[in-house]
Amino acid sequence: MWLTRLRRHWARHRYARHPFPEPALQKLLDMPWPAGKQPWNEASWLAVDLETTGLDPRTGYVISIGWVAIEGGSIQLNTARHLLIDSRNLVGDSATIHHIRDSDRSEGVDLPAALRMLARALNGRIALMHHSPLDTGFLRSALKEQFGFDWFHPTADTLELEKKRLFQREQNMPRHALRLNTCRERYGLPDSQAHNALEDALATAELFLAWANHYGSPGPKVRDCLTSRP
Amino acid sequence: MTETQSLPPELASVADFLRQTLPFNVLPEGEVERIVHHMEIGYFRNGHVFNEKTREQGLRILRSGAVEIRSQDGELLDRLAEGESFALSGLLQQEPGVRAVLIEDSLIYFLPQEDYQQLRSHYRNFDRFFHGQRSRRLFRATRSMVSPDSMLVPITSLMATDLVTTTTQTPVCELAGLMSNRRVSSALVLDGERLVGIVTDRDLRTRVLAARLPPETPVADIMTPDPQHLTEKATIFDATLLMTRHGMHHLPVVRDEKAVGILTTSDLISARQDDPVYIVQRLTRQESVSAMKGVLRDIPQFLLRWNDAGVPADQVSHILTAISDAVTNRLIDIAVRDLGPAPVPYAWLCFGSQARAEQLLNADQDNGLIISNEATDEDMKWFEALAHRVSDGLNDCGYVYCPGNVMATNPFWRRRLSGWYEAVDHWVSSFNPNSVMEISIAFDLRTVNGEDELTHQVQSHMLERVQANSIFQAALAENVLEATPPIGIFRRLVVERNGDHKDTLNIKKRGLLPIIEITRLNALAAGIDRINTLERLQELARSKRMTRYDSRNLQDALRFLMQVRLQIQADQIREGEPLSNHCNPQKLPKLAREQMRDAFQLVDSAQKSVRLTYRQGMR
Repeated sequence: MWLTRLRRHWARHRYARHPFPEPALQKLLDMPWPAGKQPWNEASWLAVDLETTGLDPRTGYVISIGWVAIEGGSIQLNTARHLLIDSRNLVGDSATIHHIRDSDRSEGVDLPAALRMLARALNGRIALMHHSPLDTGFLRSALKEQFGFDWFHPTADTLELEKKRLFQREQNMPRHALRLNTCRERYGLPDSQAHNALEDALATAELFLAWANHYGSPGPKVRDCLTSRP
Repeated sequence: MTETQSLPPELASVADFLRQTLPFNVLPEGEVERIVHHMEIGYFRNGHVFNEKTREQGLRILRSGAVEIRSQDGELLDRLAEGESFALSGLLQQEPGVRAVLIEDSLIYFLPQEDYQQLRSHYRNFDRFFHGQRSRRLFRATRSMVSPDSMLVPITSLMATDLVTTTTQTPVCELAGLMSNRRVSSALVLDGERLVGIVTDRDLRTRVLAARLPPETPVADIMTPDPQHLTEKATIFDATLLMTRHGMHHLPVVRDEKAVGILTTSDLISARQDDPVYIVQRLTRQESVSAMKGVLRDIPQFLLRWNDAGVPADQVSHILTAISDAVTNRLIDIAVRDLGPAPVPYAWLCFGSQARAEQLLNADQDNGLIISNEATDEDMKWFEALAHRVSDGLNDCGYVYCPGNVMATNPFWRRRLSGWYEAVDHWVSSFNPNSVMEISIAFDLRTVNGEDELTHQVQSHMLERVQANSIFQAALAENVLEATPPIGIFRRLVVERNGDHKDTLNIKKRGLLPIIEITRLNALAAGIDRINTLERLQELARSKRMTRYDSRNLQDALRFLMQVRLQIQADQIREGEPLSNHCNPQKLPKLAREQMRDAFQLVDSAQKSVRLTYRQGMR
């Protein structure tokens, strides 16, 4: 966490004299770091999921982005968004995995616009992902490429939180124990029809609610949720 | 924050779920998708409570988990599972202090009050669902099943209103002249406007001419005083039942004690050829068992027709019971013709479903005989012969021998009145779980033929003894609790896992019988002499032995389950399958399945209250 904060601090410092040309991104920089002792259900969260081609940000592309916010401890479906990215050079087999057809692609928004919208949604909210390194990597690389922006944002990772919880309970971890649906199952959450960025984001948000409600009294603080990875 | 992008259509998982949920499935296309974006999702732990203090009011839909709705004093009102929903604000209006307690960790979809109310005001079907949730949902289901049918038409449409009337002091010769002028076969005798008697052609023949009375004899001397009659509100079905039961051909119709019309058997028969009256009539004219079988052969087809015409299940049962009664009566008539008249008064009894007028097809026979105390051993042989003839005849007609041997052919069920008293005393004072189960059927009894007074005496004795004996009541209660409704711990309908009836549940054993038995127990304990289950429930509410609410709920559950059972039998007849009481819930429409779950839940809570009420006596 401190590393993310430090890097974010550098970035802020760098843009201090000349405001960043993209107001949405500048606002992200201006956003104060969330208070660690704040109870989780008083903070704002944005569950984000990306569908990408491949697993490597250097060669893959973002196909779609979905997000939904958690306010006051419950998921606000009016904040749900699903953006298909208009991209002409899609390769790989991800399209078939994710049921995205060519016709869907052409109706999408272009990547910079999508990133601006995501940045606005993220403002004032802590990012929430299941297995954050992958999504964070893609977002950071896209923001750098499109805007030259170094993105470091307070983030929580449900996979990591769930892993920590299982270790604390000294459970031996079966294969796939940390997959999104396997985690959900442990809380009695219904099986999620995966493979749509928004529905994955929603499934992640629900898992986070379940995790937080099972944390034990009086519930987790923000600092208990944030990931330590950069 | 401004977000210009239009709302995504991809909240498909939420919308799909809602569309499969009552009552969202009645909303027009696009409406579910629209309101999804107004919803919130929350996760709550087992034990979490929603009550009037919960800040956000609106509709809560269980995506997973389960909740119990409890009244202010903790009474369980309802239990909801995945796909079911509750709006606390509405419940609070009916039931102040009501709360919802989660009994499992639950994922809950929340529709804010404003949007919820908007949907209710826009969509009538959506709104109806929430009019007093659940128990009233079932209520509506049973009430709305009634559709017009000729048997349910009020008698006013059929009765003659240009009445031929006379007074008590009119000479019979004058009346005979009036009747032949007006070409009628009966006249009503009035005192002022009040109905005091009836005179028919047959009376003139048998009571005047055959008795060689003078023509000046006043009507009062030969009329049938205080005749059986009906009120205007009665249906054709009521009239036909009364007439067939008492062998009458003329039935006065009365409003506030004033005669307003008269109904004759020919009026009824001309009304419809294919209706049950006609069957009963034809049965009473048959001279042999084989001829009766011919008449009965068409009954399954009639049942189909009645069901299609929307005759409610309790009425169909009523009709089928009337037919069984007619068969029994006719068999007794034929037997008496051969054996000679009965040496002493008797009552031919039916037990169980026939007594309760709740028969359906493939009922077996359960009967008995009460014989007057004055019968000699020689006389008893006459009754033994009668019992065998009637029982064999019933078996030939399709009412197979009772597997438990509850039949008049068995001396255990064929006794003098004093013998019945002894038997009842013995049942109630020394019993074991098996004997309780065997004799519980005998508490539903009715006279089919003979002296009703004998039956009344036995029944009063039974009620007296059972009412005074709380230990016996407790034994009955244990028996009642044996068959539980097929609801699993996740409040799903539990079906049989294997065997011939895989994936089905026995609607009679698991639903109908528990209701019937619970009601019988309560009626016996309260000393209520009604036999029909619906009537017992009504009487229990009237005498305040059961709350009106519980009584209505059980009546609705019973009517609904009877309706489902009738539908199953109708389907089986149509498909040419053997008749059974097994039902595959997956083959029911979603609403019916939900209602079935409601009905079983009502059975479950009724059993719980039996456990509480009669527990003192339980071991």
